[in-house]
Formats: sequence, C-alpha cells, structure tokens
Amino acid sequence: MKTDTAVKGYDFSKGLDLKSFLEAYATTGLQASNLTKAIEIAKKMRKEKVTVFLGYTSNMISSGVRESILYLVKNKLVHAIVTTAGGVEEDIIKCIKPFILGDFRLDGAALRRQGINRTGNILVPNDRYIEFEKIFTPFLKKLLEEQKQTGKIATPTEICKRLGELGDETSVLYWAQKNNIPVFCPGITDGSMGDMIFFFKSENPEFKVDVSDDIHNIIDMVMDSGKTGAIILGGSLPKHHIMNANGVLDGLKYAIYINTATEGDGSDSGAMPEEAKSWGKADYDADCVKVSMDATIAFPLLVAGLVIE
Amino acid sequence: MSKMNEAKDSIFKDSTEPEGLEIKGYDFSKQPTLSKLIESFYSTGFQASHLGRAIEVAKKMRKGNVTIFLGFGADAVASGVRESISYLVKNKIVHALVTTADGIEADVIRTRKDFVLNGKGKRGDNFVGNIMIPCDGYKIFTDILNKTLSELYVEQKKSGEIATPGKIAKSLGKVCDETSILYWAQKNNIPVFCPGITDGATGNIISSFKSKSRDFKLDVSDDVVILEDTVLDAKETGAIILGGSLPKHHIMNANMMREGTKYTIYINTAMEGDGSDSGALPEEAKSWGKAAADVDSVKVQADASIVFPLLVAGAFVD
Repeated sequence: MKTDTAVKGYDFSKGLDLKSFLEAYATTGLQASNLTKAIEIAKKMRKEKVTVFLGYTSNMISSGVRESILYLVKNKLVHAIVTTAGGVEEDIIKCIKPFILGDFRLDGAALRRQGINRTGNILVPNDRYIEFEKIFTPFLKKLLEEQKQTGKIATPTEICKRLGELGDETSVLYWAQKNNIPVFCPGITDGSMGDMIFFFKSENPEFKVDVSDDIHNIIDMVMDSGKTGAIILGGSLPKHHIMNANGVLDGLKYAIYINTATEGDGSDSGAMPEEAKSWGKADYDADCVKVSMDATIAFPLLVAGLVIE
Repeated sequence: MSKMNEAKDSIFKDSTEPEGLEIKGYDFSKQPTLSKLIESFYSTGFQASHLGRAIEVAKKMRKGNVTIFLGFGADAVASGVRESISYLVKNKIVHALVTTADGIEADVIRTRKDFVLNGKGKRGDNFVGNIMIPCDGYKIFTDILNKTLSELYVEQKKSGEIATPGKIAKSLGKVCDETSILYWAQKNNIPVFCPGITDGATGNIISSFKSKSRDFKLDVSDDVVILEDTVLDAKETGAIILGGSLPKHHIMNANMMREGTKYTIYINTAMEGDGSDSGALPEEAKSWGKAAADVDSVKVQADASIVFPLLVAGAFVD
C-alpha cells in the first residue's frame, strides 16, 4: 500500500483504460484507496499460496456478485467457502430460473399478493422455491435412505457438495465440488432448506443433519494450512465463522472485509479487523483492510484487479 | 385445514412472473475492459444497478439541452474525486457548481501542496478520513486568501461593490493551476456557489481580516439571485450531487423555482432515517417540488471515491 503519496485521481485525458483506472484508486483516498489495498492483499494471498477462506451472505448470490465469486472458485483462487442457507439455495435456484431486477421501493403487501419475494431491488418470484422443493425433498429422501443404510449422517458440506453436482456451470457450488472446495454452511436450516427439512421431518422424524463434523473439518483446515487469509463479503455468520475458526492458532495473516455495516452497535458484522486482532482471530501483524462499500460495485472491481495483469 | 397444510400453502405460495432484466454479473471468463465492466453493473443488482441507472440518467443529461448543477463537499476535493470534477468543469460538461468552504480551500491548497495518503501525521497536520493535509497547507491558503480579500476590499472602497462568494471563488481560480476545479470554472464562466463560505478556514481568515478592516462586507444575496436566474433561464435542469449537507440542499432548493430538476443523481452514504436532508431520497425532493414529479432520479448509496470516477467513465468520456 502506498503511504505518504500525493492524492491524485484518475486522469480522464488518458481515455478509458481499466488497468490505469484501477491503479488510480490507490491515490484517490477514502474507500477507493481501501479497495486498492484489498486488491493488493488478494494478490499477495495468491502469490504466497495462502489458504483463502471466502465468506459471503446470500445477497451476494442473489446479485451479480455470484459471477465474480464463480470466477474465484472456478480458478481455485479460494480454498474454502462459508456461506448462509440462502447463499446455497439461491445458487441452485438460479440454475433453474433467473432473478429479476426490481426496485427497493416496491409495495411489500402488493408483492406478497403476487407471490414475489424481494431482496433489495432484486425480485425472486416464489415459483423458484417451488421448483427448488422439487429437487430438495427427493434429495433429502436419498440422504435419509443412506442414513438408514450406512448410519452415516449428512453434514452441511456434504449437502452442498451434492447439490453442486446437480448445478450447472453457472453455479458456484458446481465449481466448488468440481474443485474439491468445501462449502461450509453451519446455519443451513435458516432459510428455505430449513423449511423443507421441517416438512420432511414431519414424516421422517429420524432424519438428522450433523454440524459437528463440519466444525471439526474447518478448524482442521485452519490447523493444517500454512498461512491463512479471508475474503469476506457482507457480515453475519460467514464473517464470524471464518474469523472464529481462524482464532484456533495465532490468527490469519490476511483479511479483506467488504461490507456496509457500522461498528457502533458492537455486532461482529461491523467489527473492524482491529477487533479481530484483539481476539487472536487475525495475527498481530496481519495485513487487513475493510472496504466500507456495497460489494456489488467493489467486488467485481477487486476481481478485475486480479484478472488484468 | 391442518396447521401443516397451512404452513405449506404459505411457504409454497404461487407467484406471477414480474417483467424485468435478468440479474447477471460480469463474466470474468472474458477479459474485462473498463467499459464492459461498467456495462455489467446495471444487471448486477443493489447499488451496482443504481450506478448503472445513474450512468443512464447522466447520459440523458448530456444528450439533452440540460443545465447541470454539480454539488460536492470538501471530502470530494480532498480525494481523487477532484480530478473527475476537474475533467467535467474543464470540458464544460457541467454548468454550475455548489460547494462548501473547505471544498474551495482544498482545491486551492492542492495547487500548492500535495495532500498525502495514509500519512503518519505530525502535530498540526489535519486529516480528512485517510487523507492528510500538511500543516502548512492552511498557512499557504491564508496568504492567498488575504491577498484576494485585500483586492476585493480595495474594490469595495473604490466603487462600493461588495464581494460575494462567487467573486472570491473566481479570484482564487485565477491564481490556481490547470489541475484546479476553480481554475477551469473561471476560465469557462461556470459559476461557483458557496453560500456557507464562512464555515471553514475561509471564515476564520475573514474574521481576522475584519479585525483590521472592520467595514469589509461579504454579500450572499447576489449569488442566490444568480443561482435562481440560472435555474429559471435553463431549458431543463439536472443535478449531480456528491455527499450531503449544504451543496445537496442548495441545489435542490434552488430548483423549486421551476417545479424541480428533470434529472437527479445523488451519490452519498447518508441514511434517510434521521430526517436530515443529507440522507433524503429523490422521492422526498419530489414532495417539495425540488425534483419534478416524473423525474429521472436515482441515489447511489456508496462512497463517491469509488463510484464517481466510474460514473464519469461511463457517461462523460467518449
């Protein structure tokens, strides 16, 4: 990261060149400079073969950030994923039917009458979930049969892996299973999958999903790695889970947060890297940055910075 | 009906299909260019889509015969956003500027002294976020402004003509170099409005100046007439406003004179919950007649240091 450098923005007399445009962010100050720092950290992680944990909330998959995540997973630039239930199911649903651009200000009651769910300015008609159920309930049946036959209880990572096998090449989960990148989702019941597990269990009360193997595996992964690093989009469980797992040793060496949460209320979502250092989740001298910014704009720019060289 | 069936009906409710663009982000299997990446924002959702929409609105402004008011605060001028603004003023893409006192100060100081990124800072250095203004920056500005004030004071005594913020901005622009917003504004006859000119170092310097030149006056009433005339004489008006506070309110307020701006772009991170105008959405401006009812408007809720250069690249560079 450039320090003691003169502030200077992009010079538009140079025309539109992506590489120099992104380079100009380095000397633009405010969040633009934080974005440059994030790109530099991502490059260092790639160069030093750091084990990278990628975390994201489901809105990242609802939006076109999914395609940027896909690039990283397809090209094995990340090594483990932590996401929420929505982050898993929406990736599969998008293989069936697209999400639609709407507006933040649409009338919620009117949308409900039409069966249209809204995430920000993105619309997800409910037929997507009906279609997803047609995949997911038979899928649960299969898991239950195996559980009965072998005694093996499914874990969220196993569920994500096998859902990925059902996805197509536009899917993050598809590339994750193809590239042996585990997808951790400890909060798997907090979403549509939870609803369906609820219905499924009313007829199959013996069905189980085990989260204890996964916590063992993610911590093992941290312990078996040389250096670890994190790229975390949004807050909540994915952010906390990655950082928490990295607290078992001396903490991770690199961290990039991209979110719009504020730190004032003490929630971990808005906690700065400095707070993670106090818990030993990030090492004393860890190279960290938070880009306080909507990931739909910041993350494609970060990936672009990695791609053009 | 059993509770379980009720629950299933609720969860698996039928839906109708809305019309609209499919959500899709940039496909990085294709080598990105700046233009292609910017094009992909519209279908990415959330604030990326708002940025895509802002670029569309800006293109419409550029194409039509629209008088564009550009508002910005000191943070924009202290950061590299200044170079984006400078480009628009130099190329006469915008037609009136509204800023704060430190917006003017930062522009002048940066022609003499670099602002420094992530500087360690020593006693007397000032910070704007992660940008450091070296301590002698304001000393240099004090000398420049005192000279300008003296000239204007002589003029006042000679002809009775009282200084205005617009005239101060113009005089300062003349002693700036080609990196400066104020330089290009005076060169291109683009008025700079700064009604809150005393709220900053400028105010402190004026205060000292008046201790020696008690009868010096600075009139803000002429500028508001020029601003309103600009609004009334325009065929159509549009606003591009970075940040909140006075520049945002002043531009929108002035546009009440004509039932509102036809095009409105806000880029800021303020929230609407506290009722401050900084976080007010274009919809609120419509209720006041500051933005026309059928206005093409959008707020991009994001840091301008990242977003504004993208907007300029997407809408104003060929």
